Amino acid sequence: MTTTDRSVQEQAQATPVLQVKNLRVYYETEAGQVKAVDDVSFELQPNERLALVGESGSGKTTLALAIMRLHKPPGHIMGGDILLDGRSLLDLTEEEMRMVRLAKVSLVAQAAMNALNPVMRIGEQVIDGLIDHGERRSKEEFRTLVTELLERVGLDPGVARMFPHELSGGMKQRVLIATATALSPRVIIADEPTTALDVVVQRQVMITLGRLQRETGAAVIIVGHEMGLMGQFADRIGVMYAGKLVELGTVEQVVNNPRHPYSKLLIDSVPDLEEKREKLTGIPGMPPALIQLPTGCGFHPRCPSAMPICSQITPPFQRMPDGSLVACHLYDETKAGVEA
Amino acid sequence: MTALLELKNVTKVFGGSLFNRRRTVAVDGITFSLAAENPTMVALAGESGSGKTTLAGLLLGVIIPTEGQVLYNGQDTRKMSRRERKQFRREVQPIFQDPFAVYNPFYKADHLLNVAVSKFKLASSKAEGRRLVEEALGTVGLRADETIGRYPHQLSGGQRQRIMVARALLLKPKVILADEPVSMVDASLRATILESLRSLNRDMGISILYVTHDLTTAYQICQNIVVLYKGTVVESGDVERVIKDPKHPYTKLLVKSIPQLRGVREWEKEGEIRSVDESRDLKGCKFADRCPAVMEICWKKAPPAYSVDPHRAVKCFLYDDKPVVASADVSDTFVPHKRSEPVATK
Repeated sequence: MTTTDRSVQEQAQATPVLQVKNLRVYYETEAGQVKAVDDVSFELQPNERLALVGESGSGKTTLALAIMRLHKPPGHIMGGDILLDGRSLLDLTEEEMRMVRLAKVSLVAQAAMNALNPVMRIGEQVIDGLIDHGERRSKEEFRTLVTELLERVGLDPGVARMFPHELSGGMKQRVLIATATALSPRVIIADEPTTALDVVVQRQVMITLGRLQRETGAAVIIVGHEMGLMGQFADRIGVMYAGKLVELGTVEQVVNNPRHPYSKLLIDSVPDLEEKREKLTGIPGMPPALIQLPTGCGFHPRCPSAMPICSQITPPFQRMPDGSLVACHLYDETKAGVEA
Repeated sequence: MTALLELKNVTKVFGGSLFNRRRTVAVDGITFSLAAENPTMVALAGESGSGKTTLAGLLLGVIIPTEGQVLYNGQDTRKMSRRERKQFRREVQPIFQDPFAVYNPFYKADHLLNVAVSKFKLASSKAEGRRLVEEALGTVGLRADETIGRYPHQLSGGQRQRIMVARALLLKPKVILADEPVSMVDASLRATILESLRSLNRDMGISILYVTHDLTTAYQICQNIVVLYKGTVVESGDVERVIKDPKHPYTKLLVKSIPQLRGVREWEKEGEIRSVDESRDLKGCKFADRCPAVMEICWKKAPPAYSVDPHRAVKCFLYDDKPVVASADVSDTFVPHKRSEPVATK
């Protein structure tokens, strides 16, 4: 048995904290049905960091929000299941789900600028969230807790008495991280946690998030398109295109050996400091309108290696010999080889 | 060498009035010029609050300097005649950060292009105007039938931003000031937009000032770089040297903070990062309170620019064994523009 085989086996044996099974989230609009998330499946182990990447409109934010059942109407879950510690989140009542949020699955929202109440002191907002999720403590105890939480993310306890406008973007984002990790959730979902932050601050925020992730043993789903950050922070990368997960593998697999033609183009379009390129290359064409998806594989109109089959049959999400998953007809043979 | 666009010892202070006591020195005594005969691509890099957008505003003539002069073709932009001003407005074109905010949602996207055509009387007939618009759209890789007649909300962020580039192009400018042109578009589209900027410089000889916080793209498309910190130039010169071997502790911090997709995974190691203390008014070096290599002298005196190597100046006392740069003009450290040899290297 090779090492890769063993790691595949181990992954199958470990109990995932989160299982997303054939999830479909559709938006019903006047113009028709928009398949924002279409038949997406993945598992998340405790302590694991998964990055979801893709162009805007690829469905990554909808997927992240749907896991918390926070997707906005007219979007709704059409099918599939979301299991947290083996228990379906779709069976819960709205009130039960509300208690799961923050305590079990928490969100670090995009644009920290707008996520905080501008007329409430930071400390009160943090306490408010905790009370709302069933924490019962005396005023004094809450105050010590807030101090602890703020110190944990490297903020001065005095921040508790401040209003959001008195904080910088990075400080606000850290307040959100402090709140999101307060109840030691099982899964933390971070939706573009560092957009609009400067590089130095971005690094500070991610170091803080990473440290808290290790301390609490939570799993993290990080959504965004900053590929460099994902490469440095995540353990695995899931590439989304037109509502589907088209590739899922370890950072090493996806960055060094991307399999799906879209992942290849995406990875190639990321500039680096290694060498100056004669020409910067983007991805040709435009992402498809989700309302009118191409038949077969959604990427075939832009794909440099499209084959006749690609416009007819949607490629299955299949496991490669090294354990990564890819949805592309180019690998139909490889798969057959493994099975034989 | 005659300067096309020039900043002469420009300082911009915000606030400090009777009602707003907090004085912010956004740009602190910067001298900088773009040579007429040498179209180049320069990056103005720095974090938010470094003064890079103020600097761009000063160069565009929309922000009036507190001290110093902004010159275009040797003429003070504040003392221009009507005709000169019009020429200045035409030849120095901005491209803004937000491809959403610049459009009026009630007008079709090409309205912006048509206004430019009629305002500057670029065409004598409607058909000619249309031809010009189509030509400009073509240069940035857009098809006219995909864009003309559409409303802004029907276009993607990348398309909208490329229309902005096309608009700038229509006016046949000599300088384009691009203020974070790709920070709000998808990573996969960034490359396309930056590539079209680079080809404008290469093929049409337009000087481009690329204002950004993203050192990676700055490194990829520019020849020279000016690193700003709190309104002062801390390091400037050849982009190859500045990024690959940064000398100023601030530039070092910036370069180290960039997450590299293919790099070694050590980005998350906690290092000597200190936060900024906004309220503090530093007498000496403005980076002193965050600098890991801070010395006694840094608190007392602002460092002059030292010529660390022929194409680089660094404002830091760590290099006081090197000669002080004689000229105040930041651009004197720049490497001369390499004429584009038709793809000699791969």
